[in-house]
Amino acid sequence: MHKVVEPRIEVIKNEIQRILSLINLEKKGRPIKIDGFRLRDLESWKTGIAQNIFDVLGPYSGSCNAKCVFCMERSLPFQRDGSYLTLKEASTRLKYYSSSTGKCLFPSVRPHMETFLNKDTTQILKKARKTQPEELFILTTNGSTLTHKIILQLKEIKPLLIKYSVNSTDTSTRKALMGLKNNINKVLEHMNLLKEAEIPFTGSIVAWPSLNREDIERSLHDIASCSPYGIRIRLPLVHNYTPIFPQENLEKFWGETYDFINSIKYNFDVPVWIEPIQYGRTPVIPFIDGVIKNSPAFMAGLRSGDRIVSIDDKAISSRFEVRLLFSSSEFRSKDSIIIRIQRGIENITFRLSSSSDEGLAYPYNKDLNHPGEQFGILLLPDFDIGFLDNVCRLAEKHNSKQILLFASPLTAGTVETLIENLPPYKDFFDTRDLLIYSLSNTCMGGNTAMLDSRFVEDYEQAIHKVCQGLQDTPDLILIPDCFGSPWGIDFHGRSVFGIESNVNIPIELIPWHYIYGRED
Amino acid sequence: MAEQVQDYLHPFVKYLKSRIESLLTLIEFEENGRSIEPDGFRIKDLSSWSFEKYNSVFESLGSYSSHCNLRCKFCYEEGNPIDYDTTRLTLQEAETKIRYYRINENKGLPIFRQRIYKEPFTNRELLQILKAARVTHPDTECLLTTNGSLFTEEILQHLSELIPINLCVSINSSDPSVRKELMLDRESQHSINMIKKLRSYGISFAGSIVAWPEMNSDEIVKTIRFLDENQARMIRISLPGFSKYYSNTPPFDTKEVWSTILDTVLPMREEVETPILVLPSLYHSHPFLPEIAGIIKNSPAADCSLKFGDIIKSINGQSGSTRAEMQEILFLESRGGKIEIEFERRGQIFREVLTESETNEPRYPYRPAGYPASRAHPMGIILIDDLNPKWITTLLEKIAPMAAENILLMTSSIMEPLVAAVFETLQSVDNQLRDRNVYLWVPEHRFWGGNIMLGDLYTCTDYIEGVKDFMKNYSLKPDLIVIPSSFSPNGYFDILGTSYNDIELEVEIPVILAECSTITM
Repeated sequence: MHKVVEPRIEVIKNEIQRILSLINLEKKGRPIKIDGFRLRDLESWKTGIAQNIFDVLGPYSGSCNAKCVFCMERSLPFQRDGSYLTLKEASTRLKYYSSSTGKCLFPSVRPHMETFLNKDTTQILKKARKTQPEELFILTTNGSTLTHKIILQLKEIKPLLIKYSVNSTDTSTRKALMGLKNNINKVLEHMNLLKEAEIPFTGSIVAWPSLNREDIERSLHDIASCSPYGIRIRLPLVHNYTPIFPQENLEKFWGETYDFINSIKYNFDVPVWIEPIQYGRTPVIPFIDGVIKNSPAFMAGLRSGDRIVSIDDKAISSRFEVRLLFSSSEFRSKDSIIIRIQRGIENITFRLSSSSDEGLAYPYNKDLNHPGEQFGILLLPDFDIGFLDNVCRLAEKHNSKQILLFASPLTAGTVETLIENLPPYKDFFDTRDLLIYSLSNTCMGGNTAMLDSRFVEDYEQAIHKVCQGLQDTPDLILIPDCFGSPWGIDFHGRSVFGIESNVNIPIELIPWHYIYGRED
Repeated sequence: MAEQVQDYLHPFVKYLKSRIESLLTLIEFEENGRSIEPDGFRIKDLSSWSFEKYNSVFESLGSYSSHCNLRCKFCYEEGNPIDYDTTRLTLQEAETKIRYYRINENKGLPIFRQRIYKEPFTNRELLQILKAARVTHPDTECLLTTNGSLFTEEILQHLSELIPINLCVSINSSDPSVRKELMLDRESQHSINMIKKLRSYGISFAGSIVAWPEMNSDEIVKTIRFLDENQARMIRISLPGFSKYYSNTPPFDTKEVWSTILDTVLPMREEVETPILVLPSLYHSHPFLPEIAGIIKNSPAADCSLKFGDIIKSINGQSGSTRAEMQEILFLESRGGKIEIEFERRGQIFREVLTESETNEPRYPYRPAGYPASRAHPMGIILIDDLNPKWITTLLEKIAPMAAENILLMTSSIMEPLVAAVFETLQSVDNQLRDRNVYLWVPEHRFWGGNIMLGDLYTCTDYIEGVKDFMKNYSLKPDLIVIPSSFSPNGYFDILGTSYNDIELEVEIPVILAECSTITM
């Protein structure tokens, strides 16, 4: 049995095992062989909070048929749940989801693997669509089991966005990277079928050090020619268990890859961006991350890199603000907007309309409901200033004067800059010490220190180290809530709150701008 | 705390049951992926459950049957509100208990579910059960209490092959018509005939009479004579008792009736040789005095003409000041098969040497052929169980490290004068107490009611109310409550399954148990 996220289920399981070590249960005098249990009254087990259907259902499949050299899930030293989400489980999870409050059953523990290995995926999506008629469902696939038939089924379940792991459009390179035999023509055929079905997709490439730049550039060209919604380039992350650990200096490789992609991305008429999104990007300032092809913004001539000044006379100061605006139903009902942007030293005003039929076409769709895109203006997730308000609230709650905040090196600088430049936060932290700490050593090794760690021991060791070097020990510790468990339980089954009793300092999990945390 | 009448289950089993029940409110079990509702459970590794202390394998079997074929007018089980198991012990269950009985440690499986003790011969498998135990325990004495109505010559023949068996036969009256009236035994003549035959089958038995007021004195006397003639090992006369469930109003005046019975029965000890014991013995016997209550016929003590009323002074040169001490000396010294006893009769001291015969010559009823020397009554000497002052000195040792100043010691109306005497007379107790105060209190028998005098039948609720009554009466809140352990069959729970810890929770005063034994019936 795999570790369950909801710790009380673990308690029940242990209790059952203890009791069954002493007795055999019977029915009508016949011994029963207990091999499982199910919860009664699921209504009272709605301990999860969901922002979208993916939070409700969890991954569709815990297994993958590919053997990607860059896969973070391979060869891990702890057990993972390799099962598929069944239609039955999905129905139950949907049944106990209240979209008005976001309350849902506790999350599943499946890792996010190949979606279409699960034969029930389309059935599950159909069911989910009935409960959420307008929400954008995002699906990730390596395409190996995708068929024309599946794409036709998906057509009925729109709005959908497919994240397609392409990695390379050269058959043998792709095979070497992913261990999949499929001919690349198949991948390109899928993209054309998706286009025919009007299902937008993003192409995904992991910039693994063994890929040469010509290969990446050619892949970008090939994907861009199929009218994708966008193309993402992922910088490689490795850990101690990565089967083939690259010899390159990854820090240097990230920098060079970043520069290279930026030097060519404007050659394509589709958005191209780098992930982790936080790497190298100017945070907060509302620069447009991309313009969807054949969208109102595309037609009007907006460009990636334009800085938004105002939308419909509302002054805009942050990227997060725009995303918030985009997700409001009032905004979504608009057919046209006036947007003012700054490009270089120029200020330009555009009127964008989604109702004119003039040239608006795939991959743009005004009803896609992408949380970061309207009228074809794409803004990828960013640091929410509300996160800082929450930090202040917690500091006040604990009457804390010495706050230790853990943040990945990719967000630590943003926090520092914001506090330094925004008067209310600057004033607040004038009378308090805020130590922002980025982990340098993690139990997973490699360059996983770039992420917010999901392992309790990493925080525990860091806290001991920090406390030794400080004259005043912290009186509040804030850790990004990236465990995938409201109880802060990691893959070893330890809860982050266990540290609290060891060091006798209150610990709070905080919502954060996660690095590779959610699908978006 | 609500007084709940419930299944009497062993506390461990009860705990498991409650855990399972509480789990079942949260979950459903699955078997092969299908939901299944269990309706029972079976303990896995029984060998690790052989922890309960018994005197013998037969005791570990518990009650053979919770059914009775007769309806005695005085039945104290009449109206019993406790929902006991109403089944019979099966051969299968008995075999399991026998298999897991650890003879070297005298430990066996606990009584998982309590059956009430009723007529063993209503269990058709009884003889097979006894046989199964006899195979592995050839010399252990088996005690059977029966009304004798189901005896046949065939059964007696079987029983004679299963000796040593000590029967306690509820005869009540040797007059068939009186017995029939009292016990609703339609075959009373046959029953009495069978009792007469016990001797010829070499089965030792005690005769029991409940001296119900309907029986007149002549009837009792006649029955005592009958039992003496038919060589009963001893005669047990029970002073009549009743609970509130028997009748809303007392069916008789206890003091008056009991005194009439004692006036009738006690003089009979001069007339018949068979020991006559009147229960509860402490009601009429001299406390602490090492006085012989009776001598079993044909025993070494009978050979030397010891008799009831003789006061033991010493055994093998060892003397004790109380009956309980003398009893211990008697048990220990008799193991050698020979004792020198010094006793007092009418102010004079006598000395006798008693020897257990080494031949297997039958000595009915003391030691019929195939019976071992009596462990309960060595040399045939019967001493009535008494309050052992050791219980109190042990209790005071237990209290010594505690900070308690005012100690409330619960007792029963039958024991109270004895306990008081120990506190008043024993110097060692006084030394142990120093400046602590011990208050004795006899709680009212609220659960059973009636004319019950024994403490063994108190419930935890009786004790809680008793503590409250005490506090009202004395305007004093004690800082420690002591309860005699005899109220509980297993050292934790009363007969209703309530833990004594509930008393502490309710009255908010620490509660401890004083180790003592129950009053042998």
